Amino acid sequence: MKNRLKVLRAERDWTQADLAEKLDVSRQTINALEKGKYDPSLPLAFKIARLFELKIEDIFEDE
Amino acid sequence: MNNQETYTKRNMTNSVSVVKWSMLWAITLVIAAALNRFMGPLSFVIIAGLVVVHLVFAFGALKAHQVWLRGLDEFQKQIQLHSMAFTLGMTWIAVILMMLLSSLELIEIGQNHLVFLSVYMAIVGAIGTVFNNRKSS
Repeated sequence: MKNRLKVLRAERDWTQADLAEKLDVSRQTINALEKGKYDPSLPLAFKIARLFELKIEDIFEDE
Repeated sequence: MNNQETYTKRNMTNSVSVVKWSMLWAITLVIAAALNRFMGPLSFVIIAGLVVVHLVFAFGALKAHQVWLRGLDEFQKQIQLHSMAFTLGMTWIAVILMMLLSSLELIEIGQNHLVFLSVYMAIVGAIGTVFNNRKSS
C-alpha cells in the first residue's frame, strides 16, 4: 500500500522520531511505514489520519 | 515527558524486567547444581524450596515477557510473532530430528540434549528477531 507519510511529515518539518513520538510507536515503525514495508492496522491508520487532520484515503492509497 | 520517551522508557523498563526475571530463573539452576555438588544429596525440604523458588522466578519471567510484548507497538509485535514462529518451527525440526536419531540408535537422548535444546532455542530466537528486523527495515 502506498502512502504519503514521508511527504506529510516533511511538510511539517518533523523528523521520524518526532512522528514516532506523536503516534507512540518506535522510529523503526515509522521508517517501515514510510518505505511501504508495513501496512498499519486500522486503529493506527485512524491515529495517523487524526494527527494530520486528513482522511485515511488521503494518506493511504491502495496499489 | 513526551510520548516517545514514554514508549522508549516503557520498552526499556520492560526489557530490564525480562532480563532480571530470566537471570533470577537461571540462577536457581546454578544454585541447585552447586548445592547438590557441594552439600551432597539434598533434603526434601531444600529440594522443595528450590523447586518453589525456581517456579516463582519462572512464572515471573513469563509474566515479564508478556508485559514486554504488550508494551511493544504493532509493528514490533509482528516482528516478534514472526521470530517466535520461526523459533517454534526450528525447535520442532530439531526435536523430531533428535527423536529420529534416537530411534535409529545413533544418539541416546540425555540431559545434555535438553541443555542443547534450550541454548538452540535462544540462538534461533535471536537470529529470527535480527533477520525479521533487517527484513522489515
